[in-house]
Amino acid sequence: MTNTPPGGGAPPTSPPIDDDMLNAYVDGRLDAPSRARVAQWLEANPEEAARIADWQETGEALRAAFDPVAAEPVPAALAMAAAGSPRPHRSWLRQAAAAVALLALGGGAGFGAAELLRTAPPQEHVALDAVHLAGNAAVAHRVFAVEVRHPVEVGAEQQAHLVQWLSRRLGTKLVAPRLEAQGYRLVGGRLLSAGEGPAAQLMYENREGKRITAFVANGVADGQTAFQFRQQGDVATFYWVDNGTGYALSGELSREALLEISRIVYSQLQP
Amino acid sequence: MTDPTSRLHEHIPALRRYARALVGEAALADDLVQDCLERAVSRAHQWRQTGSLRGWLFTIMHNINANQRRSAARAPAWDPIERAENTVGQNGQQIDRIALQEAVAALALLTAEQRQVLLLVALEGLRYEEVAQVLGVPIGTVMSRLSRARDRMRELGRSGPGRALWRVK
Repeated sequence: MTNTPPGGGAPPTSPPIDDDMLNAYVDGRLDAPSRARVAQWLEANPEEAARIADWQETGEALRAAFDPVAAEPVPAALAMAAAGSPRPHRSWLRQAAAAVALLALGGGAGFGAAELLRTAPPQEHVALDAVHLAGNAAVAHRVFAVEVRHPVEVGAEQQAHLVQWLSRRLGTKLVAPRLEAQGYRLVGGRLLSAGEGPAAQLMYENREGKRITAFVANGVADGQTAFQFRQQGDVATFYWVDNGTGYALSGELSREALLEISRIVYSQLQP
Repeated sequence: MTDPTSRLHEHIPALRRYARALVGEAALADDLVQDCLERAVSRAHQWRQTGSLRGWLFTIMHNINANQRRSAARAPAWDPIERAENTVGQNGQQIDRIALQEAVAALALLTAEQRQVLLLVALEGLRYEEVAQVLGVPIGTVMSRLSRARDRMRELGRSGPGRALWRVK
């Protein structure tokens, strides 16, 4: 088989070698016998072989150019959108991409996706109350607890900086609870938003890699509440409000296990 | 019925990659991804379990992008070279940055239809049948657009914004 034109000269039982077949060859969609047949045919057709080599190089160039985009950390606004948190304002994304703050939880939203499907979109500019705080905390937990490469913005190795930074942004003195006795070490934290203000998330991890997150926000409307519990899917949350500062502890733990840790966190936050 | 929204986040990296290659500019691309994710959440009940979640998401993104391109005001102005420099900017280590920029610039000179097919196949690795579903065209159309896109990239690699065919090694 030498210098066979495309489609000609193939055995009668085999389909002709046309562009469809060449595309499938380049894209790895042929079975071994067909692949071998095309390779053999290309050897005998140098012009077509050069064309196919260029097709292959085009693909390699595109993958080399754009694969790094897929390796970038997922912008928080997109992670939150996937978790079902709507954005009230169109202009967010650019701000969110540029700023550290995560804006996707504004507008009093912050329910899980399943709830969003059943309820009307939340109104904009709802003051942050304890229930919304808990909803925000649970969504933020779901989004970031699964994050392998970028679970936190600032790691625990920079704990002093982390606490100082988040305290300044929250406008309240933040304390990172110590949970080593419960088997959890601090991974780090990140700045998020709740309602229209900033919020902080601290992440803890135990030896099995199970993660719990503490979520703190200021200016919660109900100035003082008792411990309350909320279950959103797998994520359990205990939350309370103390002098206008809201705290929420979320994890995929039993209510009892989470309550025990919440009590310890609460006691450590008392002056 | 499994709630597809619980697995949406797995697809964000690929959606971002495709959107970036499709529209060129990072902020516009992520806007498109966010629109896509929000629509997927709000229409989760429409997802058929039998289909692939990935294909469904690419279909949503295609429809949003097609609508946006129809309204001229939102059509991104492709400046091939500038886009290429922004895209490939920092990613050139062992690969030839100039060559990649030329490939990206050439991509901007394809028709939108050619670009979609080429990216879905060569970048995202979708099967031809999936591409036909995503774009809502017969598979024969997919195949002919794919050949034309590849041949056009080849021409551009020899003469277009790229002076020589890109070499990635």
